[in-house]
Order: sequence, then C-alpha cells, then structure tokens
Amino acid sequence: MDQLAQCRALLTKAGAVLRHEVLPFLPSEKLSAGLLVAAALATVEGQAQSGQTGSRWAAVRERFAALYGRDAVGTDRDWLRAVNRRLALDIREGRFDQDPDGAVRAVVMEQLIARLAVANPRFPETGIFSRPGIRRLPDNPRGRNR
Amino acid sequence: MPGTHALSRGLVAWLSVATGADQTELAGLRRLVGGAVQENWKFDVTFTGGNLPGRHTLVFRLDPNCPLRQGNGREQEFAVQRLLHETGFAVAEPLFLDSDGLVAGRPGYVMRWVRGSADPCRLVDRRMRLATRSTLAEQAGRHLAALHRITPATVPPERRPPCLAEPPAAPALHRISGLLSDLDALPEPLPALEWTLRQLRLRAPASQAVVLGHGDYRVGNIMVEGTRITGVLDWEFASWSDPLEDVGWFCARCWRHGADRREAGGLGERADFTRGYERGCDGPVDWSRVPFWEALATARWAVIAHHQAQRAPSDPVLDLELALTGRKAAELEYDALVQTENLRRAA
Repeated sequence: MDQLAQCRALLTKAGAVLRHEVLPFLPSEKLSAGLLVAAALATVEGQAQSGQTGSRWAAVRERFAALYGRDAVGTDRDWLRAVNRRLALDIREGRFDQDPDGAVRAVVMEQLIARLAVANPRFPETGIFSRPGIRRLPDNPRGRNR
Repeated sequence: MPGTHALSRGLVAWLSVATGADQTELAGLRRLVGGAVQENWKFDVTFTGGNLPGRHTLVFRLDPNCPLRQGNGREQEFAVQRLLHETGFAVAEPLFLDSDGLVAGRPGYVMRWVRGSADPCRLVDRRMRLATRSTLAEQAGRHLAALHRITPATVPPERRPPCLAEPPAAPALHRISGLLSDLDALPEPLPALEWTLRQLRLRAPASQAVVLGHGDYRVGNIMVEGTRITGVLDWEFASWSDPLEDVGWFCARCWRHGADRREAGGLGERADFTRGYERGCDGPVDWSRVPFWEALATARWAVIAHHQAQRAPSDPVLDLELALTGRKAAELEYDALVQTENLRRAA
C-alpha cells in the first residue's frame, strides 16, 4: 500500500472510531463540536479520495480549451487562478452574455462538480445540503449529515 | 470570547450606571448557542432603585471579535430595533447601547429576552403537529408583511440609522452590485457566482415597492413559543429593499434546514406563508417574481459562506464551524446556478 493509500485508510478508520466509539458517548453540550470534527474528517477524507478524481480537473481543462483555445490551458494552481480571474472579468463585463453554445456555463459547472467531488460528491444528484454540527436531517433521515 | 466572570463584572458596572441603580445583582449568565456571527449572552438581573427597578431577564448582544463584512454593526442594529419596537413590531425591546465597548472591549447592547425558542431543529422537526405548522407558517407571513408596511415614507430621514439613509432605486441591482463588491474582497475568483449574478442582473425584475427588509428572515431568527411567534431576532442585515427579497430568503431551499418539501423555510407550506403575508399587507403581491429572489438569496448565502470561511474567531469550535461553512459554498453555488438556469429557461 502506498503512502497516500495508507493515509486514506487511516482517515477512514479514525472517522469510524469517532462516529461509532466516541460521538455516542459525548455529553450533549459537546455533541455539536464532535459532529463538526466528524464533518471535518469526512471532508479531508473526501479530499484524499479526490486524488482518484483527477479526471474531473482534466474535464475542466478541456472546457477551458473549448472557451479560450488550447494555448490558454495550463495545469497548475496558478494557471487555474489566473484563468478564472480572466473568466470572472469577462463574465462581469458582459462579454459572454449570449453564450450561444453554453461554453461558459459548461466551464463553471464543471468546476463546481470538481469542487463538489471533494466537498459533497452526491450533491448534484441528491441536492441535499450539508449541515455540519446538526444532529439529524428531519425529512431525510438517510441523508448525509455533514 | 470574554470570560464569564469578567463579562459579568463588566455588565454589572455598566448597567448600574446606565440604570442609575443603587444595587445590581446579576445571575445565570450564559452564552446562547446558535449565533455563528454574533455573541448573545442571556442573564437575570435585579436592580434596586434607578430607572429599571425589579427583576429582568435580558440579553447582551455583542459584536463578534472578527466581524462579518456584510453586517451593519451593533449601533445601527440597536437603532433599527428601537425603531421597530416603537412601531409595535414583535421585536425584543432594546434598552442600553454600549457603543464604546466598555463592557467587553467591543460594541454591544442589552435588550429584553423574548420568550421561546429559535432552534431550527425544533421548528422543522417532522413530529410537530400539522395544525401548529400551518399556524406558524401563516404567522411568519403575517409578521413579515407587518414589517414591510414600514417604508421610507413612514420613517422620517432624521430618525433613520445610516443603513436606512437612502432607499435604493432598484433593490435587485443594488443587492447584486453589493455582492460583486463582496466577491472582489475574496482572495480567489469565483466564476460560477459571477455567472449566476450576471444572469440574475440581466433578469432583474423592477420593484413594485421599497420597504424595510430584515435581510435574514428565516427559521432560526424567529422566536416561537407553543403555537405563537413571539419575536423576530437579528437585525444586523436590515435595509430598504424589495419586499420579495425577504420572501425569497425565507423560502429558498438552502434555508429549509433539510426539510425541503416544506417550502416555507422548512416550517410549513408555502401556501400558508403567502396567505398570512397577503392578509397582512395592503396590496396585491406578484408571487411570480419570487423564484428570482430565491436564486439571488442562494447566491448571496454562497457569498456570505465564502466570507464566513475567511473569518478567524478565537473560539476554536466556532472557527471549525465557519471553516466547514466555507466548504458548503460549492453546494450553494451549484444550487444558485441551477435555479438561474431554470429562470433562463422559463423566460
């Protein structure tokens, strides 16, 4: 097992211990804090898994290539920040108000899906908002609780 | 966060001066849960002599040690609350303002405690009786309509705090413009929110009226005791706005606390809420514009969530909660984008 896989396994085990062995025994005034910690762990776990979802960001790059041309596409975080600044400015100044082929909508949606792949992967499908620190979901008892 | 003992001593000293009491006894000071932005401390106090003799249950509402950019601040909130109390609106009576931060080093004010609970978990609990739910949703509509009867024409300029100085000519465009400024204050560009706000700007409806808006009217900010709404809390976002902005915020899916099917804030049916609103207001309401305001509400919550994540409070649990709120922003951005697409298709 490589280092990253070991870290993922460790996080998964720590989360399970927290949820099953610690949270049920916390006094009620500390339960919200415990649930927040569980939610944070689950988020980091999602981040660790996102190493397996690199294809999401490849799709984002493809969407940018369709919008600004292949020459405008990079790979690192600085490139992403810079191209998003350019995109934000173009949108604000009305240069994409028409968006006839949906290229702008596609690139912003693809990025949201990539971010959600870490934060709450089922959200596009279920639409269930995370609720960190909340004990239960009233109408969605089987929904995510973070 | 101030220590309980130090805060207690500070309150006793300050309240003694404010009331002119010969003796001030304070007990049961505790921080109320649920305020991710402000600190609220409840306590019992007995004054002997002075201008407020007797026993009272009060709340000290304190500026956060890492304020949110969008809020009005305690001095203005106190002024808005006083204005509302004088009109007979269901709001806690504000008593004393500490604008210099004499008590805790930050501005705050003392108001009377309003009986009831504002806990969203209790208010959206599916075990609540249907009739209670219907009654409360209708009351929520009626209270909001009562608030919206306060307009620039009913409040003379000299009585307005700065946040109510000038009513905007186009509230929707004014709100969008403010949100774009808020985006500029964040370290990372957020093109999805830019896109959503641009699309909303292109479809912004003209306002039929400008009224006093709460700015954060939702389950969590209404106090309920039994089958009655006893008060409306948290006036830090009050401003002149389109009346449907509060309606959209109350009904937006992101503020239903997981009870999506109950479209009036997770509390009850939308029909109950709108019936209450219509009974409480003077003229007809164009409900067809609400989807626009719900989409804008979701985008606004996304912007606030990003700003929440930038704050760094000294309380480590609150710090973690705010960091996780920032993670929630992607969900809100997605939802706002989908709603905006629906508006575009409907047009």
